[in-house]
Amino acid sequence: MKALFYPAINLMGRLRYAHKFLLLGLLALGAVVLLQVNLYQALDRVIEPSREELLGLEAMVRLNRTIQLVQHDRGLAAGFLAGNKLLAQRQQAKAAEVDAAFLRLAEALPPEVLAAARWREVSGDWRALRQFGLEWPQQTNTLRHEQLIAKMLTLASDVADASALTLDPDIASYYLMDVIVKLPFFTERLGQTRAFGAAILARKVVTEAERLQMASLLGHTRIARDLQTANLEKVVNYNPALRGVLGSLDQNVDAGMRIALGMAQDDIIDARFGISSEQYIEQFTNLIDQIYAGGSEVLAPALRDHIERRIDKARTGLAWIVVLSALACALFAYLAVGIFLALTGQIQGVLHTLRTLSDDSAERAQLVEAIAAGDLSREVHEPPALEMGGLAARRDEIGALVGAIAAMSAAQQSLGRGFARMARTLRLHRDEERQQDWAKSGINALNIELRGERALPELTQAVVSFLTRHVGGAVGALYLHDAGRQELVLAASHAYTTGTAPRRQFAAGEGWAGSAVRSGAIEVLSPVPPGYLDVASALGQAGPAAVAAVPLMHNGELVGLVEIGTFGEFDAPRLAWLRQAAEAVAVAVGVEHARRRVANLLEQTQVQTEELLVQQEELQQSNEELEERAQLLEQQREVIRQKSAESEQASRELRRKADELERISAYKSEFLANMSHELRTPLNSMLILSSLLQQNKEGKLSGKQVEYAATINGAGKDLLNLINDILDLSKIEAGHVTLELENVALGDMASQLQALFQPLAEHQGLALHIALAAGAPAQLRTDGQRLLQILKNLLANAVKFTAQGRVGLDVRVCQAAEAGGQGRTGEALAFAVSDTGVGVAPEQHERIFHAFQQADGSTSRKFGGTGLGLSISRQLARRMGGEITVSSAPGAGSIFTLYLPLDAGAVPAAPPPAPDTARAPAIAGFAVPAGAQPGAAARASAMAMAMEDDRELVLPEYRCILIVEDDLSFARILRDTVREHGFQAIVACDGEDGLALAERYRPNAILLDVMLPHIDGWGVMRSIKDNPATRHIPVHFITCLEDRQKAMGLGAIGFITKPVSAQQLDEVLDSIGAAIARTDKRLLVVEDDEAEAMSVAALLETDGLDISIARSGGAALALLAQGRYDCMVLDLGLSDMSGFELLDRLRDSACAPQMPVIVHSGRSLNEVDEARLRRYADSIIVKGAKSPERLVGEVSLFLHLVESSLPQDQQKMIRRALDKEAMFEQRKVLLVDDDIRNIFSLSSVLAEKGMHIVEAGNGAEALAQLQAHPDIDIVLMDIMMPEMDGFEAMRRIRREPRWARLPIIALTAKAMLGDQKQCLDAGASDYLAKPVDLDKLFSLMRVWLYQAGEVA
Amino acid sequence: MNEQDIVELEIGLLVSAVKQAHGYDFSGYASASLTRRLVAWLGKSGFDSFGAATSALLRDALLCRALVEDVTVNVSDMFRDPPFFKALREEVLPHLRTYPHARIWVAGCAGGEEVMSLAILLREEGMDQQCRIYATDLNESVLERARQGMFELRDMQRYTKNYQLAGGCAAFSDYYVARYGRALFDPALLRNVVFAAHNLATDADFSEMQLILCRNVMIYFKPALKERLLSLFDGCLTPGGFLCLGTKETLDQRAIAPRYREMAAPVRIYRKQYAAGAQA
Repeated sequence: MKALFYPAINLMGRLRYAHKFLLLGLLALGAVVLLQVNLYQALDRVIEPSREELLGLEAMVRLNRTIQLVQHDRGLAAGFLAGNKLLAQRQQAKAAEVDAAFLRLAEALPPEVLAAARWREVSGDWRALRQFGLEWPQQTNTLRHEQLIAKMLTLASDVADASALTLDPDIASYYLMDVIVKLPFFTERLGQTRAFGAAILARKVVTEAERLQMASLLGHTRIARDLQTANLEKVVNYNPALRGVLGSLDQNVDAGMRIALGMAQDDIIDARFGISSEQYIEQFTNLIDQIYAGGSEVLAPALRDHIERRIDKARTGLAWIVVLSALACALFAYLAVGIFLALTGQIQGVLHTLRTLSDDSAERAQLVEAIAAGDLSREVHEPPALEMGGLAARRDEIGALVGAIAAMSAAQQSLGRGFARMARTLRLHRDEERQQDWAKSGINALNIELRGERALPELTQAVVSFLTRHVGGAVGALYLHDAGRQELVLAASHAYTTGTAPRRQFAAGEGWAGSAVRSGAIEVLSPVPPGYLDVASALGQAGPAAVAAVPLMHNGELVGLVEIGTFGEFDAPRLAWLRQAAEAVAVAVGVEHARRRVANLLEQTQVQTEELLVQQEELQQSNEELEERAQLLEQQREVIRQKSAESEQASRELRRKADELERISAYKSEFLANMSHELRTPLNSMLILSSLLQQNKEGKLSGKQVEYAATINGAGKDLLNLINDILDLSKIEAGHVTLELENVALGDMASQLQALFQPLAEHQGLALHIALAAGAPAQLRTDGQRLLQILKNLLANAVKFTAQGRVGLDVRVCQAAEAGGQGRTGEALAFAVSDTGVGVAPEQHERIFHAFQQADGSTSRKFGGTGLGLSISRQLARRMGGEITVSSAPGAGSIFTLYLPLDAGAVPAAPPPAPDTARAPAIAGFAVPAGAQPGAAARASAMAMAMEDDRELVLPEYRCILIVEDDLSFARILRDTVREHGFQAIVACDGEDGLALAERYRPNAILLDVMLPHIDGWGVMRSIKDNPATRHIPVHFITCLEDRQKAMGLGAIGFITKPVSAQQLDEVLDSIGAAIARTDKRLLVVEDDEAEAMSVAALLETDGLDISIARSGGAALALLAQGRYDCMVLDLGLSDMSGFELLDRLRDSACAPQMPVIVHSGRSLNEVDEARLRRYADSIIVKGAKSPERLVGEVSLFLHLVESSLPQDQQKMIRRALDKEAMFEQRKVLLVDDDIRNIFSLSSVLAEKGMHIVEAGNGAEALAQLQAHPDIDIVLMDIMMPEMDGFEAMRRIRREPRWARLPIIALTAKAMLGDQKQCLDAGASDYLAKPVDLDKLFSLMRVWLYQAGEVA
Repeated sequence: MNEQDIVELEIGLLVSAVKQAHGYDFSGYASASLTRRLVAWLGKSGFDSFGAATSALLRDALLCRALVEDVTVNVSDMFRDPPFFKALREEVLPHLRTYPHARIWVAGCAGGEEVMSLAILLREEGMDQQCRIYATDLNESVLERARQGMFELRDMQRYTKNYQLAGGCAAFSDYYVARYGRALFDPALLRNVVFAAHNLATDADFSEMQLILCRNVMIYFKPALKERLLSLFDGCLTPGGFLCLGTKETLDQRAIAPRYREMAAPVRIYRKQYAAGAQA
C-alpha cells in the first residue's frame, strides 16, 4: 500500500516543510474555488431560464395584446366591409393601434423568433392587410385576418418554445404559463365568433350554412372555455394565493360568456337579429378584452412574481454558498499556518540539538583521525551537557525523538570523557615509544646501511654519515683500527670542512679520543672549548657544543672509533643508542673484513672451478673421442674381416677359373700339337727348297740372292725349332708325353754332354766342367732322352748367356726336400748347371720358366731362341717327378738345378702343370729367351681378366701411356689408338691398379676415366698429384661426366666427354704427344742479381726442368719472344725496368699470355702494389727465411698447371663470344671486397661481359667510389671487411635518397637464416652465398640491372 | 621409454627447433657434451623441461642467444698451450712472412683471447700490418666481448706467464692498461682483425687463407661435423697454408689428412702440401 505513495513520498521528500504546507494549501484552495465556481454555475443555470421565462412572458403578453388588437381589427374590418360604414373610423384607429402593438411586440420578441421566417410572414401579412385589406371583399379580409391570427398563434407557440415557457420546472408557474400561452387560442375562438357573427348581423341575413358554421364555432368556443377553466383550476390548485382574484375574474368571464354566447345563439342561429352588430361586437369585444385583461393583469403579474421570486431564492442560496466556502478556506489556511509554525519550530529545536551533537562528534572524529595519524598534540575536551529545554516534555513523536537524542548525548558525553582519558594515556605511551623507536629505527636503518656487499670505504662513509645524522650531530669521523700499525686511520668523515680536516690517523691511547679507545667506553667532551672545532655551512660556521668519541669493539677487539660533534648536548638516550650502534657497526666492519677475505678466496676458487670445468669437459670429450676411435677401429677390423672373407671367396673363384683355364689350355695344346704337324709340312718343303737355292748348284743366283736364300732357310729352321718346341710343350701340357723309363748310366751321359758342348764352349771361350760327385750313383732309372733334353737345354742356356768365365754341370745326391717340393722324402739326384753369365734378378726367377713371356726385345734379338726351353724343361722335370729351381742374381751368374728322384717309377709324376698365363699366343713375346733379363719390369699380375697390353715391353726410350678405364671394350679401342700413335699402352681396369701401374711404370701420360670401381677418377687424380713420383705426369680425362671444371681444377691437361669420335681421340693423343715431346718444362728466372739468380736456379733445378735466367727486363722479353716458357719467376727490382713495367709490356705484347708469373721479391708491397700485381702475377712471394721453400712449392704447382690453362682459355673465349650481352655492356659495377684475389677474379669475369669495374677494398672506400662515380649501376658488396663492413656500408648507402634504388648484391659466406635477413635489412637488394657461383651471379645481375634500367 | 630417452628426444627436438627458428645448428655437436651443457642450461633457465624451453625458444630470440652462449664453450686463455704459440712463432710465421698479405682465420674465437695473442705475436714479429685476422664465432655476444679487447685482471698473471713461456720477448704489460679490475689491450692490436659471426656447422668458407686456427673447437663436434669442418678448412687453405688444431685434436683418420703434413709434432700444426692443384 505504501508503495502506492512512493512518488508522493519522493516528491515530498524533496521539499522543505514550508513548501510542503504551501503546496497543500494551494491544492485545498484550488479545490474550494473549483467547487464554488461549479456551484455558482449550477445556480446560474437555475436563474437564467427563469430570466428567459420572464422575457418570454413579456413577449407573450405583448403578442396576446397584438392578437387581441388584430382580432379587434378583424371584427371592425368585417363590420365595415359588410357595410357598416360607421366602423371605418374605429377600424382605422384600431389598425393604428395594431401597428403600435406590432412595434412593441418586435421589441420584446426573443431574437431567434425575430429572425425566423414566421415573423416576417406575420409582419408581411399585416402590412398587406393594412394596405389593401379594405379593398378586399369582407370574406377575403376576414379570411386573411384569420390566416394572420393563425400565424400569430403559431408565433406564440414559437415564442413559448424559444423561451422554454412550456418547460418551466415549477409546476405552479407551469400552469400559469400554460394558461397565458393558450389564452389567444381561446380568444381567437371568441374573435372568430365575433367576426362571423358581426358580419351576419350586419347583413341581417343568415343562411343555413352560416348557422351551422356559427353553431360549430360556438361549440369550439365552449370547448376552449372548458379547457381554460380546467387549466385555471390547476393554477389555483398550485397557486392558492390567486384563488380569490381568479375566482372573481373567472366568474366575470363566465358571465360575459354566457351573454355573448347567448347572443350568438339567439340572434344569429335563431335568426332573431335582435341586436345590432355593434352590440354584438361590443359584447364579444368586452369579453375578449376582459379575458385578455385577466391574462395580462392577473395571470402575467402572478407569473412574473413567481418567477422573480424564484430568481431571488436562487440568488440567496448562491450568496450563502460563497460565504460559507470562503469561511472554510480561511479556517483551513489558519490551521495550516499553525501546523507549519508548530512543526518547524520543533524541528529547528531538534536540529539544533543534533547539530551540537554532531559538531561535537566531528570534532572528536578529527581528533581520533589525528591520533591515528600520530598527532597527539591536540587538546581533548569533554563534551558539554546538552540543553534540551522544554522539548523533551512534549508528548508527540518529536518529544520521543528529543528523548532519544538526549540519551545519545549522555552516551556521547561519557564516550568523550573516556576518549580524553585515552588520548592522554596514548600521548604518554607515544612519547615512550618514540623514544624507543628512534633508537630501534636508528639501529634498523643502521643495519640496512650495513647490509649488502659494499666496499669498506662506501660502508664506512655510509655509517659515519648515518650515525652523525641520526644523533643530530653536525660533524662526524670514522677511524678504522689498523691492527698491523696499531693505529686508527681515518676511513670516512661527515660534514668536515676542509679547514677542519680531521687527523688522518692516531695511535690508541693518544689524546682524548685515544683514551676513549683504550677505555673502550664512550667519552663525551662538553662543553667544547672555542676553536676546538668548527662546523661550517655555506652561510656560516660555529663550534659544536659537545663531542662524543665512540670506540667500536668487536669480540673485545678494537675495530675503530667514531667521533661525533653536536650543537646540543648528548642526552642519555642518544648515548645509549650510540653504544648500541657502535656494536652493530663494529660487527659489520668486522664482517666486511671477513667477507672481503672470503670473496677473494671465492673468486679464486670460482676461476679455478671454471677452468677445471672446461678442462674436465675437454678431457671428457677427448675420452669420448677415444672411445669413438676404438669403435671405429673395431668397425674397421670388422670390415677387414669381411674383406678377407670376400677375398677368400674371390680366390676360390679364381681357383675355379684357373681350373677352367687349365681345361681350355689343354684344348689349346692339343690344337697346337695338331697344328704344328700341319705347319711342319709346308715348312719342310720351304726348308728343302731354300737349302737347294742356297747351294746354288746352277750358279745362276747372285751372291745377294744366295744370302737371301740362306736367310730364308735360317728363318725356316728357327720357325721349325719353334714349332717343335711348341709342339713339345703342348704335348706335355696336354699330357701326351709318356715316360720311357730305363736305367741311365750317368757317366755315359756326362761324357755325351761333354762332347756335345765342349766345342760350343770353346767357341765362346768358356771353360766347361762336367763332374759327377763322389756319392753319386752310377745309374739312374728315368727317361734318359728327356733327362738329356733338359740338361742340354740348361747347358745351352748357360752357354748362351755367359760371355766369359765357365759353365759347369755337377751331379750329386741330395735330400728330396731341398728341391722344395712338398711331401717329398728320401734322396734325389741334383744336376746343377752353373754359369758366370748375366744372371737373373730374384723377382724374375719364377717368370723365366713361364711359356710365351714377353721379354726385352733387345735380349731376344741378341740371344735368339724360342724362349720355350726352360718352360719345357720344367714341365718335363715335373713329369719325371722332379723339379727345376734357379738361384741367381744379376751379374753373379746363375745356377739351375734339376732334381730327379733316383727312381722315377717310384715317384708319382706331378700332375700336368697349370699353364702360367692365359695370354693369347698371338701376341706372345717370341724373343724371350729362357732365363729372361731383368730389364723388363713387370708385375706378376694376378689379374685374371687383365687386358693384354705393353707393360712387359715398356722401355725407357719408348713413350708409354697409361689407360685407366674399366670399360674393357673402350679400353681396347683406346689401347689400339694409343698404339697407332706410336705409344706403348698400359691398361688398368680400376683406380688402384691404375695408381700402382702409374707408380711402377711412370707412364708419359695418363688417360683417366672418372667412373671407376673402388677409387674413382678424382681420387686417382688426387693421388697422382699427391705423389711426388707421379705428379708431373699429365693426365687427360675421358669420361662421361661433365665436370670439366673440377678436372681442370685438379690439374688435368684436358678433358673430353664420352662418347668420343676417333678424330677426337686422335686430337687428344696428338696434344699429349706434343706435351710429352716437350719433356722439359721451361722456367724463366728474371733476376738481376747474379748470385741470387744462380741460387734460385739451383734451388729449382730438377730433372726435366730447363731453367733460363734473364738478368734484365729486356733480356726477359727477348727470351719470351723467342720461345715458350711454362713459368716465370720475377724479381721486381730490375736494372732496366721495374717488374711492373715488365709485366705491363708482357701483357701488351701478348707473347706469353698464359704463363704463370711468380713474383719473388725482397720489396715489401703495399696494397696498391699488390692489387696491381695481382692482375698479372699468380703468386707473390716476399723473400725471407722461408721463401725458398715456398718458391719451390709454387713453381712446381704452376708448372703442372701449364697444360690446364690452354683449354680453359679456349673455353673462356667461347664463353666470351656467347656472353656478350647488351644488358651488361657499358654498365658500371662497383666491386667491394677486401680480398684482392676475389676482386681480380670477379673483375676479369665482369670485364669480359663488357662491364666497367670500379673497385673498393672496404665500406668506406665503397662510399667514396660511389661519390666519385655517380653512374654506378650495381654494387657487389662483400660483408666481412675491415674498417667498415658491408652491413654498415649498405646502411649508409641507403641513407642517401639518390641511392635508395641502387641495386646492391651482398656476397655473404654465411648460410644462416639471420644473416641473409640481416643483409636485406641493411639494404641489400639481394644476396649471394660465397663462393660465388658465376651463373647465379649473372642471373642476379640480369635481374637487378634490368630493374635498374626500367627505373632509369 | 624411460626418463633418459625422453630427455634425449626432447633435446633432439630442441636442437631441431633452434636450427629451424634461429639457424643455430647443434645437431653436429657431440651429444654427450651437448646434453651435459643443455642440462646445465636448463637448470639455470628455470624451465621445467626441455619441452617447455623449446616452445619458449621458438618465440624468443634473446633466449636463444642466451642458450647459444651457455651451450657453446667460451673459455679460453691467452697464449694457451705456450708451446703451440712458440711453434707458431718459430715455425709458421716465417712462412707467412713470404706473403705480401697473409690472411688468418681464427675459427671459434670465443672471447678473443687467442686473437689477441695472435695479434701480439704478429706485432712482435713486425707482421701486424701484413696479416689480416678473421675472427669468427657463432656466438654474437662473445664476439662483442672480443671486439672490446678487454680481459679480467685476475687472469693476467696467468696470461703473462703463458706469454713468457710462449717465447714472448717484450714486457707483456706494454700491451695493456689495467684499471677497474680489467685489462684493456691496445686497440691498435685489433686494427687488422675482422670480427664476424660465422657458424661452423652451417656456413660456407671464406676465400683463401694462409693460416687457420681452430683450437679446441672440434672436440665438441660429432665426427661428421668434424669432417665438414676440416673440408671447409681444406677448401679455403692455400697450398702451403697451415692448419692449427687443439692439443687433443688430430687429423689422423680424417679425409683430408693425406694432403697435410704435421709440422711440430706435439702442438698439432699441419701444413697443406703443395701437391694438389688447389688453385681451382
